Amino acid sequence: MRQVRAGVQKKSVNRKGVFIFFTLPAVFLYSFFIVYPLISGLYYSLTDWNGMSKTFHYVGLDNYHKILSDQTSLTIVGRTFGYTFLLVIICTFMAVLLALLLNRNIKGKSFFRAVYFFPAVLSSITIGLIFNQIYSNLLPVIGKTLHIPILSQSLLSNSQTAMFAILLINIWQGTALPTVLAISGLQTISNDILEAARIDGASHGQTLRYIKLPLLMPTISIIIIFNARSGLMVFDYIKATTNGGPGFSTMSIATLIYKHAFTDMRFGYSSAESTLCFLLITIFALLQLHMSRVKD
Amino acid sequence: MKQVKFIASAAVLLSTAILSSCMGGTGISGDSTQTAEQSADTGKTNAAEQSSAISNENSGETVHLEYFNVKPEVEDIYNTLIAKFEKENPDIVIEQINDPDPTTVLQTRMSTNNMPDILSHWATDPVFKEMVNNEMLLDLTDQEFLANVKDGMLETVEYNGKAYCLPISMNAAGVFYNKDIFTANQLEVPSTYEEFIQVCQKLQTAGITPLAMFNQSSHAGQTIEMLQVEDISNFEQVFADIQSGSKSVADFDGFRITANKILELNKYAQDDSFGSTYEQAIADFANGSAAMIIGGIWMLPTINEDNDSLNYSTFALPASEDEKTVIPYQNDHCLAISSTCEHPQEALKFLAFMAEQENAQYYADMDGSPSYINGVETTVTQTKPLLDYFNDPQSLGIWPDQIWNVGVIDSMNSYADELVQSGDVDAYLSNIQTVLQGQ
Repeated sequence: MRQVRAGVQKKSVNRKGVFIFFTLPAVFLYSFFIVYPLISGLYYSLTDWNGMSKTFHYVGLDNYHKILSDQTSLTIVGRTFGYTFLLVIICTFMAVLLALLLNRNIKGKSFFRAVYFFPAVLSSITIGLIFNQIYSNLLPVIGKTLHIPILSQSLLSNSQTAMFAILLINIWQGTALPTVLAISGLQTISNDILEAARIDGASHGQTLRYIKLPLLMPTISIIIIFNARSGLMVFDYIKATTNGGPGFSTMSIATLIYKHAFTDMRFGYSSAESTLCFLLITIFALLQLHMSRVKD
Repeated sequence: MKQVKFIASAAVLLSTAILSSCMGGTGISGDSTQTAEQSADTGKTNAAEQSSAISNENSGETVHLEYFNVKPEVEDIYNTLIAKFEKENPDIVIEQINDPDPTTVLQTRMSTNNMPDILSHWATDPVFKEMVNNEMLLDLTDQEFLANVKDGMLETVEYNGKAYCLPISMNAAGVFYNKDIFTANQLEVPSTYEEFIQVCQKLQTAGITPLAMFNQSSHAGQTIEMLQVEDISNFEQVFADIQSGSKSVADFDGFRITANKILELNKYAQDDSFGSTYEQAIADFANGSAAMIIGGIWMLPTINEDNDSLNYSTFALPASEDEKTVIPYQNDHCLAISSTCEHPQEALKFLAFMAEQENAQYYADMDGSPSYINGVETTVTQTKPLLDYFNDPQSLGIWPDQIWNVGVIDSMNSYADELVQSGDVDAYLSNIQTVLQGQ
């Protein structure tokens, strides 16, 4: 009996070992592409390295101090948060709304689902360039014909409207994937519950408020985190349309980090900005997860 | 048990494969670092590299060199010259790299120790200085082909008495104008800033767009620099004083004057100038949609490419009455070899080829800029009015961005854009004070 138990134990240890071996590729990749750059970035954030020189100096927390006292950087951080807030609200609302519509028994349901998912398969740079043409060549013609002053010139060339124009591009693409997630979330809701509610005389509004939305909350949480990360790290659309201009009006946290690193050659400084950005996103994600757990 | 062992072995092999493929990248990087250090230690053209190059020649293998071009306007000129070079040197192939954002891409490559074999750059640019300081470029001081550079010109691109590049051409900037539009509207070339504004007003009244501006590509910043060269006397000292903190931007009227001038000039730009790129604005000028465009002589190849029958010429952006007109200039581009280049002899051959009078003359004829090479004359008539200023050194001023540190120009350009968008001169002056003092 003891021999049999020992055999089972040995087999279990062997299996554990195999499983550990199978995690090794992922561990190596994660360490190489995430952990190593993270530690290395943290190290360089404490230096004045310019990206080229073979020598650099340890400057302690000087870079962090400069970032927190730089008014332009703080304005850009504030703008990125505002942009993220709008993106999250609008994208989540649109995704849930479209999912509710596309989850009904309508004609051509599959076609519409494919149409709404289409933006997700395009590269964001491609979308940025397409919208650049729309804003520069198409909308001004419409604006001039209909005598709408705000549309008479490219929305991207006015510092008051440029960030909203980029937000619109982001919403157009950013709604696609969350819509699919929301549809799949809706499809996991058991028909029995919905039927029971219908038998009990619940209206469409009541079914939505008391059954569908509460059961969709885990999916909505994922959508919020997904869009928040996308908003806080917005880069491609800006690079493809305005490159941060006019002036600094469409500069985001990510484009600022890029500018400081690759244009201004302040790698140490931009590493410090990246570290702060990482901390901000981590705090946001933890808060969001905590809130969704509390709700559950 | 055998199955478990097999699966375990497979997992280990898979991990090792992934790890080694990752390390492969670092291995290359490590090697090139070593090469850089070796080159630095042994005075760049070390014997090992030379013998490697010679052995390549002897073995009849084709040597591939990468040429990174930072001047998109001269891509076709270099294509022609490279084709001629390859015909004369069938064992060498040069691949020209052109990128829409060449300076950023080059700086990224510099930071990852992935320098191209040959590169064009601006010999007095802050980034070029950084490359020299960090021993990223081959020392060319003893190369014979540098004897082809005009007397006294090589010194202007040297660092501590050493040459790290072959200077090719200089640039200057002013105003390109459409001669047919000027004749049709009975306009004379203006000699003062006030006359220039009158010309703009007359054109605008006649329903013609006076100026094609490319504000999406930092035209406001570039034009402000041109104005600063004229309106801020002894500006090299001025910038040094601001940086040291002994004086501020507010102490010099020139900054406010130039800010007001850029606002005035933008009144005569085409609609939606912030939606217009460098290429679009040049096309507007070349096809006659706008009568003038402010910029450097480097725009000439692009204008000719867009419309080779355009009847145009240039004049200096004139100074205000009682002020002396000064035009900005700098080294327009030079050719350098990276210290990590694995085939320096072949790369040097290309530079020697570019230093030959015949090839330099071809470049000057196509580009229209004054050459550094002996015996080369500028035959282009359109840029002659600007090039005449080179006869009087007092009429020349180095571009301010050549004095600033790396990265300052980008912020200065962004604040210039903000100024044109908002019209707030005080905010602009305050912002550039922060940038110039903190540089």
